[in-house]
Amino acid sequence: MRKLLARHSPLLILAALSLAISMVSPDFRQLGNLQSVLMRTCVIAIMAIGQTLVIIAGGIDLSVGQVAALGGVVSARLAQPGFGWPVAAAIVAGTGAGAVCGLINGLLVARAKVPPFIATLGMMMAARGFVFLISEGQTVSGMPKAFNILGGSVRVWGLAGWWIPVLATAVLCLIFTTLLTLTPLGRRIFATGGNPVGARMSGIPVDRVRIIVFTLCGLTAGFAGCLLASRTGVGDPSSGQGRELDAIAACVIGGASLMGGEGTVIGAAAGALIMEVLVNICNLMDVKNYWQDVMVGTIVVALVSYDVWRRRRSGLLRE
Amino acid sequence: MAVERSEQPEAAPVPLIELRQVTKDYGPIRALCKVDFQIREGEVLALLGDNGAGKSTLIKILSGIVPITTGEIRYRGEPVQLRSRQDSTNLGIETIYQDIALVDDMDVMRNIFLGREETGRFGLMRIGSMRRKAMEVLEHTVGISGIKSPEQMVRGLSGGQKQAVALARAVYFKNKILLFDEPTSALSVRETNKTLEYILELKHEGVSSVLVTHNIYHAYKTADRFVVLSHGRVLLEADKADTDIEGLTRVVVNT
Repeated sequence: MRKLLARHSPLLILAALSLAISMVSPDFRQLGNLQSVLMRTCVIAIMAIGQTLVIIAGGIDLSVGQVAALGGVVSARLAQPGFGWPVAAAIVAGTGAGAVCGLINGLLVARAKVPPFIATLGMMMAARGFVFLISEGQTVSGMPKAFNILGGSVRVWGLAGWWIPVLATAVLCLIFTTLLTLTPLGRRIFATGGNPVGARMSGIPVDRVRIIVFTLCGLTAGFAGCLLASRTGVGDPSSGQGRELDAIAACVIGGASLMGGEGTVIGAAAGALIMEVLVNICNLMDVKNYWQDVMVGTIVVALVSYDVWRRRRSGLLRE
Repeated sequence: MAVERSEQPEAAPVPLIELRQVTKDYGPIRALCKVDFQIREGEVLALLGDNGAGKSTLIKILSGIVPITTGEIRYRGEPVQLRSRQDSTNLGIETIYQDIALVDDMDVMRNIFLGREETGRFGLMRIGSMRRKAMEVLEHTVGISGIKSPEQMVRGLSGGQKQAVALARAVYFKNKILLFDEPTSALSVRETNKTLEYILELKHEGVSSVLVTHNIYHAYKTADRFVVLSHGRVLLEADKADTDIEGLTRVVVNT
């Protein structure tokens, strides 16, 4: 029972938080507000899903924010009348651009043995450069209306579209949860983060696992970027700023351990939702934006401290 | 280039694994120098020697973790390459490390099947079947255990139990050659005896074992043949009949 609670603690926190807030704030529990919270969560949640894979495998990806911006700008640019690609193709291309960045990260980490922190820091800068090169420093706009469907900001068949990104996020959660819990690759990802030496001794191709998780992380980041561009209706070159840290924070709030070997996709998505709920309630209560940053920062540090304390108590961390 | 060892009788059966004139360099450091080494079918071989003698290097070569620099490896007389862990697994070679090859945060069943999960439709794992088999193999192959369920986390196990899990993994996958890296160094007396007994039991089923150990007493008790390495060279190779524990101790200590 305790194990079950510990495992689903992010969901419990989320439920308790939402309940408490909706009791004190009538604005929060309004349908429109809840829909918009959900819709906003999707971008970070999708980035956090990919990030969780990397974190479980013992790595970290600092480039996801800029890679997302790259995905968004690429898809927006291709969907613009100048190129005139069909919207679906543009979004696939944006997602693919993200996957390519992720693949490069993976190769750097697994083959060139560059520490993940450095490799993805380099990728973050390079991707930011490409974002501005592709967008020429301007906000990319003027895409056809169909471009906005994925993000949920337009009405589809006379219905509000907010559920489209939510559904996309839910489907990704389902796919990646299946991958992690029911396939050999999932076990290998956990083993790679939990004990890389042991994993290699057991015949697990650790390097290949690392390449795969970074590629998937880049892919989800690219897709999240497309989704953001679609929601806002523009390819904003500065939209990636700081989002990598939001994504990492969401993973940590969701129970992933930065030491590797632990984490869940659902937890990461819940973590993203918790952050968005906090931001929302701050907005509703007219708390300054800056205080929101202070809060999220405090929560992340508190959670990591708890993780370290728990591991030390169970004898996993040696002094 | 490879010369048959002269003391080997003509009619000797083809060894399961044979290293011929194998040299291994780590950069400027020569870890093994023209080593000839054999593992025969159904024998227990003790690999002895001081730290830095090349024992670990030899084991890593056999496990496919490090490539040889020069020389030749033969499996049942046929030249083979051991370029990866997979190559070695394919030949039925399994290395049993004390505990470093287990993932602490995973349960016993997951560790047994780690890297070799059974899959069914859509590439999904057959968890029920793996659990049943893990239970079986733990129950009837490994007497040490005291492991209550395949869902127990490896973290909480004793040294002997961890080794039991590693052994269960090796045995379940029907390996022909087991390489034990310091099998008794972290075990209690009772666990040590159980492990050594179990190695002998496996021998009767035709499984060859190589014991890498500092403990000459354990080695002498269990092994049929002894190879002593020193500074990357084979110092002594002897059958149990041709040596005694005093003689063996003298060679090992003087290395």
